[in-house]
Amino acid sequence: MLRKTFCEMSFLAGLSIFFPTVGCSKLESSIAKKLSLPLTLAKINDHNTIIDIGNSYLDKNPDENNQEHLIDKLLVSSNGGLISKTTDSLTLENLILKKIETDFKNGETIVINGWVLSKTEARQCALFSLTQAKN
Amino acid sequence: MHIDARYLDDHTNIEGDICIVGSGAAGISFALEWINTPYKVILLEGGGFEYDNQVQNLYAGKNTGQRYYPLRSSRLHYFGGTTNHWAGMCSPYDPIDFKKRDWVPHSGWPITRLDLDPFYARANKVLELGPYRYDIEYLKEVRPNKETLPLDEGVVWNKMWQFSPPTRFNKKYRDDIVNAKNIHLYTYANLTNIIANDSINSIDKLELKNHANKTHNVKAKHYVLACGAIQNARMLLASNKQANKGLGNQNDLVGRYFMEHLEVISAQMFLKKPFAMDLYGFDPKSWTTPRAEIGLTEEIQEKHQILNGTISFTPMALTKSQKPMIDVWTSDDPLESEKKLYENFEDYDKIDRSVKNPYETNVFELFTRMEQAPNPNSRITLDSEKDELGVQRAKLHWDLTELDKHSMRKIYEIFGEAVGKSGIGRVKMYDFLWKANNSEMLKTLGGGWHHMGTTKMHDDPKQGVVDANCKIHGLSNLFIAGSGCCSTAGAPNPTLNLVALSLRLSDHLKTLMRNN
Repeated sequence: MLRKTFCEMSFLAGLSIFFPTVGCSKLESSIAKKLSLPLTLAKINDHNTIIDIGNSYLDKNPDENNQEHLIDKLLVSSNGGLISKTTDSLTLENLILKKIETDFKNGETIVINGWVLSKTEARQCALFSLTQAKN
Repeated sequence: MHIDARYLDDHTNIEGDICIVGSGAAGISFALEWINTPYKVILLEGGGFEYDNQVQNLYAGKNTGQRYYPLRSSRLHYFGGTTNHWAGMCSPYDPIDFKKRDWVPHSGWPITRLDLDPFYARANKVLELGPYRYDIEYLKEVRPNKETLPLDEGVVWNKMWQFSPPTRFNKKYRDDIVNAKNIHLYTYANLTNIIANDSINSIDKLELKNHANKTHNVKAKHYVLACGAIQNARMLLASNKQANKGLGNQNDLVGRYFMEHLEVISAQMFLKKPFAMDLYGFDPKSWTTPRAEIGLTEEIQEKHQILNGTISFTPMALTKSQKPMIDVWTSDDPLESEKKLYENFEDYDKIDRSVKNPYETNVFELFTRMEQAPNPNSRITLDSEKDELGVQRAKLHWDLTELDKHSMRKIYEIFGEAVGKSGIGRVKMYDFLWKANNSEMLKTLGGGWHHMGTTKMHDDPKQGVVDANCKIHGLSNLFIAGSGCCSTAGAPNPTLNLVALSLRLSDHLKTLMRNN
């Protein structure tokens, strides 16, 4: 893939840094893009696999089939605090990585399409799949 | 001393102190212990020193239940037995394998790992292995500058394997046996009936036949069945003229609890960056170099109520055209099946190892080697069809349980979590593990040609066929040597264990003989 997909996805996520957000919807859109990059999976998987994982997650969890809901879940840090939507990309990336690590430590995992994933990265895939559907 | 039973006068009466039936790993290991003792030991082999199609045909049988290899080709019927083509993978059973586990019905041996340790050490020598060390420190001494996977040691551990050359008992020990004055090896001497005394509490004699239409009898003080788990059960069940359910079968246990190791490619591991997995791979320079697999700790097995098993790693590049073993070993002819098996590993030979270490990569296929839960419905019975010597053929009903499937899936969930936690990558299970329900088992699941159980060890005659000394309950002088005595299958291949059990039985019988 994988390098190509990783670069594409990084680019999509990176775009949000350079285009300042004006209204709430733009902020939502920006944070969605930043959050929807499951870094480890993007390194080892192609674009379509991540979308498939995301869709399967949403099939299993229909109550989460909502961009705002997923963003709210992802913006809870590993220590339970809330992460600001205006957090810069690098900090956000590190906070999400920490959250994924904590998921694995606490057994907050889920098997989606055979992948053993942290719930956080599964939600990232779901968000990615929703944002791709909108594009 | 060697005697070909085809050339003896018909109805020859053979007498000795000990009679061992079967000259495979269990029988020969036992016999070697008696060389130069004051006892006359009769060692019976149904075949000769070479593969013989007519003799091999005596092993043909029927299969029902979970798909399995043809019975005719799943053992070898000549001097040396299945060691004539075994692969040589050896590791002792883990302490947990011997324990009574509340979550594993019918588990628990009347002996412990500590009881077997001295015999494992002796078995290591018989099988030409290295020192009796199966710790990861030893592996790192043998393969320095190589790293283990950086995973949580509270969850997983590195189970070490040693590799026999592999010892072909036919070549290695034939002269020792034949030249021993007190060991009387009879080839072409097939056991066809075990005859008890009138009270059916001890064995009086054995009846032997061969394709030369000769019938002979053997009388000894003690008898040891060492024909393999299927054949031992078959012969006890088929010896039913005096006891209609068969000998030693007063509690309907003979043939039950047939166990195999569940072996199947199960998942893939994707690493973020290449990792040199040499400690987990075969050493191209030497077959006998030890290597490791990943197991789950006792605590984790107990916490998740699962069976014991291990995971091995093969770079995807080496497995891309490999078929499941159950799809390869399909011929009734063991030589043909073996040939196809080697052809299945051709990818290994095509890799140019001088250019790049194939074990330093980032995608690996994961292979399961797991114990089967003891299950009374997984069993050997007698078929109505008889073989050429008049003995009813064996019928195997291989039956798996939900615990088997649940455990295999859980092993990969736990391993996947450990890999995720370490941050090195992710694990993806193959469809059969996560899609199907617990009662559905994969059609491509195979075994390791490891026949275990059928004469399960337990102190209570209502729960096992043999006692802790491998003596059949209710029969004072009939013993079982080999993997048939296993109460549980353990995670590792059975050869080291069955040789250890055989050596332990030998010591026990020496004590008995001395005391008598």
